[in-house]
Amino acid sequence: MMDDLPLLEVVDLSVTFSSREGEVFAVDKVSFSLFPNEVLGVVGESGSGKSVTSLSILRVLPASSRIANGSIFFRDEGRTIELANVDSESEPVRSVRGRRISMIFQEPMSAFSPLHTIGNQIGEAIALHNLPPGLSRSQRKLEVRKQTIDLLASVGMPTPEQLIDSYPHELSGGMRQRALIAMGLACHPSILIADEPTTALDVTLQSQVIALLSRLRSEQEMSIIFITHNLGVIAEIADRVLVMYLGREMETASVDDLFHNPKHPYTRALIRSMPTIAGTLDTLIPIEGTVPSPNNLPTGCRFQTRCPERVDGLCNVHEPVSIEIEPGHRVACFLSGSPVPQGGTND
Amino acid sequence: MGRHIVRRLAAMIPVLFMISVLTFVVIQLPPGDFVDSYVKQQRAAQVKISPQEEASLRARYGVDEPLPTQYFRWMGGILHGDLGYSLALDQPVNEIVKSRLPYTVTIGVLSTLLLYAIAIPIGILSATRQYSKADYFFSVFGFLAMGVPDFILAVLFLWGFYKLTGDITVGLMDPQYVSEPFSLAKGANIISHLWFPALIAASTGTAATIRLLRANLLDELGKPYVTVALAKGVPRRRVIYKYPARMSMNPFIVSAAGLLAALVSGEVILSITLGLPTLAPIFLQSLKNQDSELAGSIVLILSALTVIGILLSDILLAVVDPRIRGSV
Amino acid sequence: MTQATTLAQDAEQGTSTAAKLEIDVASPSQIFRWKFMRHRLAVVSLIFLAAMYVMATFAEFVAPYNPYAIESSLVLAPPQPVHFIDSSGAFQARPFVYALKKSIDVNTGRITYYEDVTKPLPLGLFVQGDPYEFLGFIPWDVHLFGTQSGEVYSPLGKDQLGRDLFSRIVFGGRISLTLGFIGVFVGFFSGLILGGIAGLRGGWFDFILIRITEVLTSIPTLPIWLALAVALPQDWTVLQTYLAVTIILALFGVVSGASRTVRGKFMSLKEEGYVQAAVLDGAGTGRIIRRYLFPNFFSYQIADLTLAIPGMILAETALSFLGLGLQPPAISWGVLLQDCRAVRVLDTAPWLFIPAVFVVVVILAFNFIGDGLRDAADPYSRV
Repeated sequence: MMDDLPLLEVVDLSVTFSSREGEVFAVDKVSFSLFPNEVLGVVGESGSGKSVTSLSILRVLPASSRIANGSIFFRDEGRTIELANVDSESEPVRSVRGRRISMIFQEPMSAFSPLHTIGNQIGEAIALHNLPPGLSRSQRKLEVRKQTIDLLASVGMPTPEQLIDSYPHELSGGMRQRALIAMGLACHPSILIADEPTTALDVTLQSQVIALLSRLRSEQEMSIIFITHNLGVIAEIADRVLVMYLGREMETASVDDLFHNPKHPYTRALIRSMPTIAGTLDTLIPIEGTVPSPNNLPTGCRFQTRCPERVDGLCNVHEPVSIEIEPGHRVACFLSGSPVPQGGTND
Repeated sequence: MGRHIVRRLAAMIPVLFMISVLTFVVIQLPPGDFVDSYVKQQRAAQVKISPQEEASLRARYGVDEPLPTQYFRWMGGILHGDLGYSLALDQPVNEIVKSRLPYTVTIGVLSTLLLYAIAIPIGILSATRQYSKADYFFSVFGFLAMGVPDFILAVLFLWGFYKLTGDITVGLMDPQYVSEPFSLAKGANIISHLWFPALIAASTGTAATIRLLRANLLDELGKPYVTVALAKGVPRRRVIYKYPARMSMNPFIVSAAGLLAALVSGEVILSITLGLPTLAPIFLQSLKNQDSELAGSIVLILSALTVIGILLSDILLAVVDPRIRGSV
Repeated sequence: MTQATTLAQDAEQGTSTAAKLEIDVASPSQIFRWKFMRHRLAVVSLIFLAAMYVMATFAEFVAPYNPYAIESSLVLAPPQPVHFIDSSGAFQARPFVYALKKSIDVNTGRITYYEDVTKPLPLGLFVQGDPYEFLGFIPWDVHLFGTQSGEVYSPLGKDQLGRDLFSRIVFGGRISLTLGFIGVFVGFFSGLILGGIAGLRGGWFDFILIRITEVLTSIPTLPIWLALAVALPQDWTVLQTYLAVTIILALFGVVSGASRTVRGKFMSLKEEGYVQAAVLDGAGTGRIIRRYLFPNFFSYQIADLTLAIPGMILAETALSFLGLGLQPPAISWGVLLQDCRAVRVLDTAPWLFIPAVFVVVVILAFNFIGDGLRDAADPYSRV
């Protein structure tokens, strides 16, 4: 499937937030592709820019931020739509948002408006995008309701006919998360962006939700961008993985390569800090230091302040660019062969 | 829901009871009674009243009875729909109230409507276009409206009115309507006279409401469910009206209680300043005369209006918020 | 799994930030000051109010005349504008005013004042005038400004009895500016005690307090104020009436508001983890209140109280304006505004409305300061 044309291509995407100190880069020249029927895992600590990246694809960034640079190409029904350089309320964006690309969010409680029934909120997307033409008002209502009930059933809600009329506060956490997934799936999108959909859940619910997403993906032939800070979840669901740190792409690889042949010191550190069932706490090695503030980025490679393999005079002077070291495996590290610029620092 | 309303209604009774006791006691606080101030007035008008006459007046008006007796007599009447008797005006309180209450209510309702009609759109505009020119303009305007007291606005209004017309009182209606029975034309005429005073009474509340609504809405606009709705592909404008604008109404409805009390206070000052024939000017007069049944009844009516307003806002809140509806 | 990472990171962070602290540490009060200073309008308002309070404190010195001194020949004289250019068109370094002349319309009896351009009166600072007692005990007769010759100069005109309006405003500030402060202070401490007991102990006390404050907030305050103000004995001194009015206003506004907020805060803070931890550590109630509860809501409370002061000022002004509460001979801005109730008088002498400008500007200044304080107190707003 990797030989197909990518469904989504993000090229050199940069997103800035304006703050008192000036513009701050939340995402800095990130590129990646998503292929049909693929799950791309995006991993990183908080502040790595993974959520901002996904919000940019749908063009629903908060008011204080903007896309500073780059392009987003979406191939859909035989045409290619560019999403980054048009107005966020323009026709191309509107034709894609919620219909071809949809998103499920982290916090099921705050993602629903407490004042509307979940049926109302899920049905909204259906009414907007997924109705056959030429229906009367009441037929539309019925059709929306029917589709919503089907959706709720497909995500494993026990009694969808009743739950459709309940309010978010009346549902349990797991049920709310399912409702949220149903909302993301409402229009059978070709891409589903799942932003930490399991973080707010306990472990049993986590695996249920992951199983559900895996099933839906094979049933509905969709691609998923799965955002998480949890490598264990990535191992379970992803085909390929993009590792981000402070708004930069560190490494991209298939899930096997990533776990068995990690190249970037940051990826290696992440894997080392991952507890295993067999391991004891002694074998868990945390990453030293903390993520620097995006207002005050380190010079050179962004990870150099915490990197155990730092080469002084190189890593703290120049910023490595991403190179492809073998097909489908990209790394941004001098140790893996990122070219060293001659004279002066880049960036 | 029905039970909720009944329970709230029941809770109103002790509140109104406490208010009635409070006002009755407060009105009786000054030394002396109505007969004293009556005698004083008569004496000022060179009319001599003998101590015997004074005593018989006291007995006739019942003002020499102990306070609890007077209170229960008054209260007993109220329970039968009789608000008592105004000694100073020599008229049943019911009559006075009947002729004046409609104007008080008209100004109150008019102010409330104006307040909402102005504050809600401006609040939404200011929040959705934060830091725009319009937002700055309305912020400055709001600060001014909060800083300028009602009565100063009323004085300015009266002054302007005098400059334009040469009249020193703002009438309720054009003269030709005064003796006419109520009609649509008469109502329209009254509203055309009252809308500006009503706007003054509502000015402080409007400014406060705009600020509150703007702050609430800004809070709500940053909430994840807004991004979610946008991500569903719902047009921005529709998202704002369907979700955050509705959410931000809640604290706004809750604050309506204080708002109503402020509106009533504003109405009192305004009516006294402009000499409008509402309950307020006669209330001030009755306080000065120690005309306790009239004064007490007016406080009670004004308080009851506020308490009913609060009840309505409570019910409204339960209607719009399923979380509250669920818990009652 | 990530949790362990985070914990380890936290430990790490502890040491690294400790090292950093030596370089850039700012105490909370410093941060508070920085944030407040950034609020330019609030700072300007603070300076303005400080000037107003200084003016009220040294009213005898700042005011050119005794506020009760009657100049019967100058009833309702208009404000005298300050000039720099004399009748011959020459610029004068020393500002001057013209003496007022009046003419009486024989038919209507109406008095018109006009400037007598033949009689310029140079102005000066620290001129001699009415004798008074500086700070209440030092006999003195120097005033901040006035005409050098000692002739009448009324910067804001005269009232219906020929008293100097500016002097009356300066003296009126004493009552109008302090009443809000004292009321809020008294009200807040009563509220603090009531709300504190209710919040910490709960039970029947809490129940009754909440019911009472509910009643107090749901009734329109103005009618009750009016009723209470009427109840004040006519033969009380200005000081007695002043204190009584203050307490009445505070009782129905600040006390109930403050006690509710304090109670609510205490109730919720009691449940906070760090307070529970302190209880488990064996800290006494007094220590917990001082160390954890107070600091937690004090800054908010200060902002709230600052915003309550203009409410009190407004209430006093409104009451006095309606002829209740403070009465002449007391001088407050509300009392001064009583003259404006007669619209015909106001029309002939619009300067009588000037005290309203003072009221509005002072209220605005308090609002701006309150806003600035609130922003500064918000730990989530950025430096």
